[in-house]
Amino acid sequence: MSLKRDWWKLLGIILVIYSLLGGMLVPLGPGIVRVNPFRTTSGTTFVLSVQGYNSHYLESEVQAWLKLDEHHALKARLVEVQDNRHLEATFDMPVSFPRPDSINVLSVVLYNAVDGHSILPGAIFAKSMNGQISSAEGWRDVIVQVNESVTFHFPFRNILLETIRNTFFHVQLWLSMMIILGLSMIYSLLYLRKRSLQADQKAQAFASVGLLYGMLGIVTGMIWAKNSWGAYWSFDVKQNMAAIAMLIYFAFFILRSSIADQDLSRRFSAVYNIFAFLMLIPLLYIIPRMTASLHPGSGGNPAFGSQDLDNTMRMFFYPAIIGWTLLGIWMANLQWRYQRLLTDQLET
Amino acid sequence: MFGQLRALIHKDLLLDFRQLFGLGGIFLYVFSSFFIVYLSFGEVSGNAWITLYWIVVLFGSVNAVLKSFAQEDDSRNIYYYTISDPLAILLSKLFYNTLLVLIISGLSLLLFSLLTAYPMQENGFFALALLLGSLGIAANFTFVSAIANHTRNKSTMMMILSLPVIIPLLLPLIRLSIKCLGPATWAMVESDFTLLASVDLLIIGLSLVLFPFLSRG
Repeated sequence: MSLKRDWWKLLGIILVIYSLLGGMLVPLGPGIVRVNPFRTTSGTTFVLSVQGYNSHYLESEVQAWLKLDEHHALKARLVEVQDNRHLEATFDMPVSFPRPDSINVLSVVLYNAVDGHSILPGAIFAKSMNGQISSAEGWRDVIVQVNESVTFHFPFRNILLETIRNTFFHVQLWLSMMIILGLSMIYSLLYLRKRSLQADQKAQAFASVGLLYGMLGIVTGMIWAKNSWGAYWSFDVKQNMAAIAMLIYFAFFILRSSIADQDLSRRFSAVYNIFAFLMLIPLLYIIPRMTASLHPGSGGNPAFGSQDLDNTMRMFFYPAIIGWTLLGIWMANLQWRYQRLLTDQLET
Repeated sequence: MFGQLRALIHKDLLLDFRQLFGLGGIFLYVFSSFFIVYLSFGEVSGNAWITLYWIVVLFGSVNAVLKSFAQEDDSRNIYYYTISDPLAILLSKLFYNTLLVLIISGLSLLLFSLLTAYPMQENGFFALALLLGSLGIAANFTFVSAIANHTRNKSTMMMILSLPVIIPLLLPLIRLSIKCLGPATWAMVESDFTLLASVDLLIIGLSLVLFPFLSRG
């Protein structure tokens, strides 16, 4: 193993270990897990107990607000901290609301100098006892706007919580898989143009690694789903599309073995590979976005896609993709070299 | 090019009308599948009607399109490929198979409506969906049967190779059909039609580009 030739394999290993360690060890930022009770009425004194996550309520004074919208918020009269994770905030609900709705949805906002802002959106349902009168009296408190302190942590997202780490396992497997299957398609194209045996062997090797990554992606997704949705398989659109994508590549391998003539089988499977890859894109990307689904990032969920990544997560996400792709190329490399040895042996 | 197209389509038509057992067999298949399902379910309505309808059309079309490639032996095929442009062959098969699938879906619609109540309210949208759907199904099966023709078990390979790709075609089709059961506006069905049309274009475009590679040799 010479470093000059195989430097990319070492780089792949380093990047994968780095992303695994970082992905598992970096703590999550502070946030609010739940509040209790979640209903209140106007004109009453309302004691809200808040449970936080990775928060430090004892270390600095905590201020709390009930936020109606950008211009209306109500500050807590009293905040009693029980420990780092639990506190009780007392609010004197005004007699009426700025809008003449009978039920208003309020968000809970906490601020402290150590944690910065924590928000639980849409947490409280406040009923107005005299819904005809609308007045902004009492809703004019201002939420402290301070630049956030710089600590290294992953963003806290409601519902996702710690499972946000799945980005480094599940999401990047799919992206690495797309890159590897793309490489497989390119080698199939090369085979059709130049009829070189090597190109076909490389295409097949990349397709098999791509299939492996796809299966791993589905399995990691299923483990996450059991935790978050309660079932391994919910017939969610993205899950179904992913399964179909795997079926397409299984069909590729079955096709290769079911044609008697070697030359014909290589040519036809190369054509099918190109066809399959180009059909994959509408399957995996366009159809799930058109329908509502349970998956984060579609249909009203706390949005989580590559547009929504925090800079801290990007530091581990991009190296993870590169590292896993390099590992995949290494696996495919071994496989087609083995195939080449077999065919060379047959010919001598 | 058009001369070749016309000649090839004419040839396919003649073949099918001279040996009626081919086409007749397919219509019998469609009719018996529907009849069996109807006997077991009794009254079929709404979503069940739509799903059944499209499944029967799909499986009927598989047989029809596969037959169109498999009915001629290798030497005859080599003759065709030498005297005409492979694109002309593909286009002629595409056109003929689309016609075939349209007839199958139309006939199934008739049969279904005779034996159970016709549930569609938005006929215009449904007709357009039928058109686009038949085109997509025919295009997909034509391309896949060109590949499957050389394999050992043709019909199994046909199913395996084409069914994954038929799903992005079937999903908007079934969604559209369900929407056509009740009153529907263009705004409701627009996204489904665009998806259907784009998948159709994708399949046809890919087959046009890739078919010449299949036919050489």
